[in-house]
Amino acid sequence: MGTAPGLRHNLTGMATTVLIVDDHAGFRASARRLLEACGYEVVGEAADGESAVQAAARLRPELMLLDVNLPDFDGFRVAERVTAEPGAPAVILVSSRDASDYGRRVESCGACGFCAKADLDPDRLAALVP
Amino acid sequence: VSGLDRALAGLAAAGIAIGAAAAVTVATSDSLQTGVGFALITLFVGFSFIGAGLIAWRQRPDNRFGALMAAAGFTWFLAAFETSQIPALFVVGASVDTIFVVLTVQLLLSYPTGQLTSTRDRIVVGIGWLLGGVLIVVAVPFFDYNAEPWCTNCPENPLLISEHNAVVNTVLDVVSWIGAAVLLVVVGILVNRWAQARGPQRRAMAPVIWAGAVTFIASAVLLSIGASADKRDFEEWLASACSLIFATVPFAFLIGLTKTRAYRAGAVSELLGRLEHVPGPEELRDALARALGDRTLELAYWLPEGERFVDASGQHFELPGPESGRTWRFVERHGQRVGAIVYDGTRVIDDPALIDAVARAAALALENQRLDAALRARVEELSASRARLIMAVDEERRRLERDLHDGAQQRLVAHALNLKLARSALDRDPAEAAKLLDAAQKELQLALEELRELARGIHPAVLSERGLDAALGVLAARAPVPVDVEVHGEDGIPQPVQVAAYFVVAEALTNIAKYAHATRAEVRVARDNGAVTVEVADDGIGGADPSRGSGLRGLADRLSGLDGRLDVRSAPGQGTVVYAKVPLRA
Repeated sequence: MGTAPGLRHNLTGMATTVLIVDDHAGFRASARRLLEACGYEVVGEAADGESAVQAAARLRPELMLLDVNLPDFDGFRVAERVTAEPGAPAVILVSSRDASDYGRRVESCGACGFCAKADLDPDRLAALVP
Repeated sequence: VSGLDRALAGLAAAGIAIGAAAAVTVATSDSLQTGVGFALITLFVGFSFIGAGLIAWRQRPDNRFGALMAAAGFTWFLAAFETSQIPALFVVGASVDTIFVVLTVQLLLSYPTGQLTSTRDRIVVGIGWLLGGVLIVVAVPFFDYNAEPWCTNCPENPLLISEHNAVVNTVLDVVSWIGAAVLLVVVGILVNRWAQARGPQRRAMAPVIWAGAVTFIASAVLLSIGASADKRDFEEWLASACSLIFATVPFAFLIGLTKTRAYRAGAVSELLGRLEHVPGPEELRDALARALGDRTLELAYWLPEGERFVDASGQHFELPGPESGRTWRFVERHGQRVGAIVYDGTRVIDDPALIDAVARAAALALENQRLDAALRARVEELSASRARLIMAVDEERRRLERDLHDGAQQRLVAHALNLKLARSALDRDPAEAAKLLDAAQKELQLALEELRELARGIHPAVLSERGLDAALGVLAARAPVPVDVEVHGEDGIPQPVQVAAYFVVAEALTNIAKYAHATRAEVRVARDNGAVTVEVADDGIGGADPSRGSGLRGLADRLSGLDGRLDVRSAPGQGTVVYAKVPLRA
């Protein structure tokens, strides 16, 4: 598996911090294992939009893995709110649906990319982050 | 000859006798302005009231107006005895003098039914009886008529206990003033009533109301000058004029009555003419509206199977409540209800015979149109249930998408990620890779199970493979309480009916598991007269409301698509029975 050290380790040489936002605990656990196995540091998890916004402000992660379908409000709203703040994390939207189901909102919400959940892997994440 | 006719004949004879006695008394008296002229006026007024009263009584026995008119006539004759020289007769006449006025107030306020309908009217009449009836009669034993200058020739008062003429005269003055005021109030009520009435009802009441109003104005003048001044001549003249005007009231009433009859005959024959050709719903309504003189008239058609009314377009029709001012008359044909005529009780002339005749004339046309209205109601119902079916299908698809997304799809995603992890761990840590592969396999198992469950909800494969009995057996086996299943005559039940029966049982068992607190349940499927019946009964807490749950509503729509129906009986504490019946030939 190819790697992208520029993302997994930031400029100071520390592991890149990640916040995982998804209402399915099973996906959060799988994603955490996958990311940690690849050298990321998962600093937190959130199960809905409101706690995602709060966790982002508190934990200041460098990367946010954000599910589109959340129980309170959707991932686009979370992305808009989070990326409006200074020092915002890079936001990657994830979903078990296809990006084409969501149209232009994927580009306009402030997120830097979209990844289908089943396709999730570190190489793909590295490619999405600018 | 009926009992009523005999009684009325007796009253007529009594009226003639008392009238004759009163006329003779007035003609031969020398106490007040008397003589033949006065005797004739007395007879005319009294006979008018008694005669018209008895005629009205005979024609409309359930209407008390006739009886009231006759009573007023008798009282009038009794009052004439105040001209008698016989002390007993004199005192009777003097006592009932004012009662006649009170009776006429009651008469006019209760026109045309003879009954006082409002509290205000009852209070006015009550005040009248208190002043003109009770107070005057109570004063008689304390009044020495001979002591009054206008009654020097009067006979002795046989009831006199002690003379208090000064007090009684003061009381009489006050009573006269109040009486005059009450009479003016009555005039106001009558004029207002006339102004509120419409159409034929107004025309029928006009002569009575106006004759009454003019008389009461004159009476009020009479009372106030009687109380304030001593103008005997003018008073006598006005009293005579008053009597003559008032004598027209019974005739006005009789004219109203015959007008009503003529109106009824004309209206009904015109209606029959209009109904000769087969009228459409709008024409029928217009014809009935014309016959009853109420443009707001509405027709309601009875649906026996739904036990409800619909309008001509098949929309649900609610009969008006009692406070709406509207009333209705059911229309029947061969003893079966076919519809109702709904009209404005304040516009339509009060004539039960007219409304009966109109209802009879309309029955055939209404019955014919009822079938059309029933058909339209059925179309309404069908298109509503079709719309609900489409909505239910959409809702079902949304639910499927959600179930797939939240269930199997999430598990497969996790499965893909676990495989990825296992692949990356394979070389450096084979034991970790094996653990990850185990987890991945478990996720896959769960995903498969969820997909199977979902597929069963879309269409039960066991039903098409092994039939209804087996499919219901599977449902019963998965229920949380013991379920007894009996299926009779499964062969030849069309597939759509089997599917419907399956989902009735599935929904009922789901509800039992969720809400019923039951210990057991029974499922019976049987053939009944070209239909399949499905019954699911439990011994739970009951009290289920089928209109609340979308599941049962959706089932009812599904069944109505097959011309079937769904009933839920669920009295609190008596368990729940879900009963469905679907014809085999849909």
